[in-house]
Formats: sequence, structure tokens, C-alpha cells
Amino acid sequence: MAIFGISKYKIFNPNIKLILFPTLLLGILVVLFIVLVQNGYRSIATELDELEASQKTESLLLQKLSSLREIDPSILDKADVTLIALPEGNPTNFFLTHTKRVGKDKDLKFLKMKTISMATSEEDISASEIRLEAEVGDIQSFVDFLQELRKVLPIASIDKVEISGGGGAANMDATFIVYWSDLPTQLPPITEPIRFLEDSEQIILSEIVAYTKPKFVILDPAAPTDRENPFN
Amino acid sequence: MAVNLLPKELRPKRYIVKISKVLTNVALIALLVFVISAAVITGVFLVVSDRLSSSQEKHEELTIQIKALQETEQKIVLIKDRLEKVNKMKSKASASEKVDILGDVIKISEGSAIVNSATLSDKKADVLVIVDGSLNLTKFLSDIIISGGFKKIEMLSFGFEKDGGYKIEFGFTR
Repeated sequence: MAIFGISKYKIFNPNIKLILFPTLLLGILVVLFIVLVQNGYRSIATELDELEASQKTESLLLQKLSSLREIDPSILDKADVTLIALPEGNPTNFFLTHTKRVGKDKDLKFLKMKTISMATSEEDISASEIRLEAEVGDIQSFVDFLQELRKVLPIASIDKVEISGGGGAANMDATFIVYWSDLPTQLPPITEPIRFLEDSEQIILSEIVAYTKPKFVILDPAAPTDRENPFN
Repeated sequence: MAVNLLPKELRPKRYIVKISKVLTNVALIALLVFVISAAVITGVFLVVSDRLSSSQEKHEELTIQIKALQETEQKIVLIKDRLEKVNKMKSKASASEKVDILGDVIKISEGSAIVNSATLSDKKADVLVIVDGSLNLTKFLSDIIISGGFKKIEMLSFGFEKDGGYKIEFGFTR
């Protein structure tokens, strides 16, 4: 009788029987070892990658946390000033209030005020043009007026000025540009480090804090009063 | 004395017995190596997993702490956003700084000339002055140059009228 073409005698040959078991065991162990090393290495490598990424994130978060704790609270208090400097909506009215106030101080007589919305080269900044025509006794008053308007909030820039008639009554035709911009809508990713203010921004911040802000009138809620009977 | 009753043809050969012993020893050593490797791999895996889970726990803890400071972050993002944009606007050329040029020219002209008109743009300040005589004209010009406050002075026009005096238009750049 033959099994797979090999005679029974050969399979059950004592020589073969003697080396069959250790050879089979060795073979099985080699296969198992390869499987173990492959899977083990893959799993450990994956875990190590995850650990590295997690530790990196952890250090970024730690850095961010310490940066957030180190921020000078006095800078945070200036958030309102920066928002007044560049508001969310069109600040033409605030700027006109300043022009009227400063103009009154300098004895200016406004002849014409005109606002025109305009396109800006910056995508995220909107702008509006304000054209003013005024007259006053001397040119120096216009200079003082313009110099003072450079130090008001919301920030405006002087686009063009034409002054005429020195010596007697002087006339001015000035164009100002006021700006506004939408507020940031989302916070940066949690792992992104805090971007502190650059030197130029620190200088601007300290400058604009000293600028004249528009006066806001806050109406306190009044207590309800008794209604009088109008027929008495 | 033990007697081997197996027929001679069923008895394994001597070298086969030796190979079998060697193979058995190698298999045992391989088994040992396998067990030790399995233990080491499992141990390393458990240690790394433990470190990973503790890192992730810390990660979550830090995220909670950062979220508690969200208001601070919001304010700093707002300040940064506004200041970046204000900086952009301020760095654009405008007539704002030319106002000071006109102010300086008015101061310098006191006593020698009268500033008659001015046009301020983002590039320069054009100022028309009236001077009643050549002596004052010389004084005005020397005062302007001595002041040293201008990078470039261009004479754009020069005129004379018997009744009005000299009418000179300058273009000042700083």
C-alpha cells in the first residue's frame, strides 16, 4: 500500500520517524516566529507612531497653555480699542461725529459732506469714502483739523486734500477713507501655537490706545413708572 | 544488560539518531527563543500602549484647560486680526503724512511768505506760496533748505505779478 505514491514502509521508516517530529516542530516554530515578529513589529510600530504623534500634540498643547497663561492681561483689555479702531460695520457715522466735533473746535464751517462706498484692494477690508468741503479763516486751522483727525478712532486715512485761498478765508476739499472688516469667525486649530503681537503691531497698539474714541451714550434701563390717567 | 529485540532493519541508523538529537535541541532552543520573543513583544506592546493611553489622557486634560482659556484666545485672535489689518491700512501711502509737510511749510513761511493753496496727495505736497519781494523770497528759500525737513523740493511753477508779487509752486516730498 502506498500513501501519496510513497510506500508505507518508507513513511514509517524508523529513520524518518525519528527526525520527523523535531523537523516539524522546528518548521512550525519558524513559521510562528515569522508571524509573531511581523505582527508584533507592525503593532508596536503603529503604537509608537501614535505615541510620537500624541507626545508631539501634548507638547504643542503644553506650549499653547503656557503661552495663554503668559499673555499680559493689560493687552487683552485693549481688545475693545482695536475693535473701535477697525469696527465690524461701516464707521462713517463715528468719523463724521469726530469731524463735526474737531471742526467746531477749529471754527470750520462745513459746506458739504458726502459719503461714497468704494472697493478696496484688500479682500477682507471694506472701505468708504467721505468727502468734506469746508471753509475757515486761515489754512493753519485746516492743518490742525487734519492733524487731529489722524488721531481718532475708528482709523481713517486722508486720501486727498485741496486747500485754497490763503491770507483770507480758505476753502478745503478733503477726501477721507474709513475702513471696516468682518470679525474672525473661528479660532485657529487647538494645536496651533498662539501668535503673539509683532513689534510693529505693539507700536500701533500703543499708538491707537491714545487716540480719541467716539463717545458712546449708554442708556441705563429705567425702572417702570406709574402711568398717569390722562382723563383725570 | 538490556537486549534490543528489534529486528536490525527497523532499528534507526546511528547518524540519524545524532541528527534527530541535534534537531530536537535546535527545536527546543527555537521554542525558547519564540517564547522569549513573544514575551518581549507583548511586554513592549503593553508598555507602549500604556504610555500612549496616559499621553492621550494628558492630551484631553490639556485640551480642557485650553478650552477654559478660550476667552483669552478669542481676545488675542481679535487683537491680532484687527492690528494686522490696521497695519496694512497704515502702511499704504496716503496724504495723511503730507499734512505735516504743509504745517512745516506754513511755520517756515511765517514772516517771509504766505501759503496760498496746497494740494496734498499720497505722493507729495504741492504748495503755492506768495512772496512780496525778492528779499523775502531769498529768506523763504533759505529757511526751507536750512530746515532740512524735506527729502526733495521741486519748483513746479514760478510767476511774478507787479501787484501780487512772486507766486511759486513747490512740490515737497519727505
